[in-house]
Amino acid sequence: MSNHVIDASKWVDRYSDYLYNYTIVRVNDHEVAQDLISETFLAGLKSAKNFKGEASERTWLISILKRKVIDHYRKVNSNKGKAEVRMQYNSEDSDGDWIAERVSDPFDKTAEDTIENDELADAIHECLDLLPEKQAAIFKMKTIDNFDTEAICNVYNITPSNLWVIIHRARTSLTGCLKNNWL
Amino acid sequence: MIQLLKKYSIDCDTNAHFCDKIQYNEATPKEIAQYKMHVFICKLCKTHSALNTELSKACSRARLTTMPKTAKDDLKAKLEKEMNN
Repeated sequence: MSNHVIDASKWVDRYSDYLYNYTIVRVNDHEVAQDLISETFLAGLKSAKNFKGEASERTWLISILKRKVIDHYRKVNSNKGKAEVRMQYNSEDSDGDWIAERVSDPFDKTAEDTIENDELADAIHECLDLLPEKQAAIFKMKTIDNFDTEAICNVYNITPSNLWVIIHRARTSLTGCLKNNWL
Repeated sequence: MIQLLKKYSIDCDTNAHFCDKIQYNEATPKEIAQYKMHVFICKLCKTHSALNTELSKACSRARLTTMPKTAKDDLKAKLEKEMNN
């Protein structure tokens, strides 16, 4: 029995940030990430009739995106890609002994830290999904995009007191959710 | 001294509000002082503020990003066009 239905008109508002975080971790390029998400949504739209509703829309879109990411790396590692030697300095300041620079991690970040942080990002997004749409959007604007209180109030036509109430509710729900799943 | 403490004392709801503002560096020095004073005496608010601070740390550690608004608008237009075809 189908439990989930497709509503493509809401995809950008509902899933673009989640898919963007998922992609940026894997391709490390904002433009490529945006292109891949665009391709994912279009592919999703084309194959919407194949959606059985057994998984959620987001899970289904992620499965399409995964294939797009793999295709992207296949393209990069094609014969043309392999012919190029891709080495970049870690920062503009670094020059000269670059092999040594690449061996030592300047931020002392281990692979485990990175994986843990990626998993944490996933957990936060899962919890954000449980919030009412407006609450999640305002929390993202305030916490992730660092918008001013005034700017958010203007966008949503709310007072600063309303904004802080919404932020408080969002933070309380997120803390509760993450306490169960992460903290 | 007691009168001064009474003058600057706040209730738990106000403290929670100040705690949120502190997370975004939007609290005034007076609010921070009142918050610290309240947390010092209120165990419940101390627990809440610890979790609230932990959430802020988690959000920054996760390096969350959002898709730029222009990209979202472009994508919406593209999807709408595709849906109408």
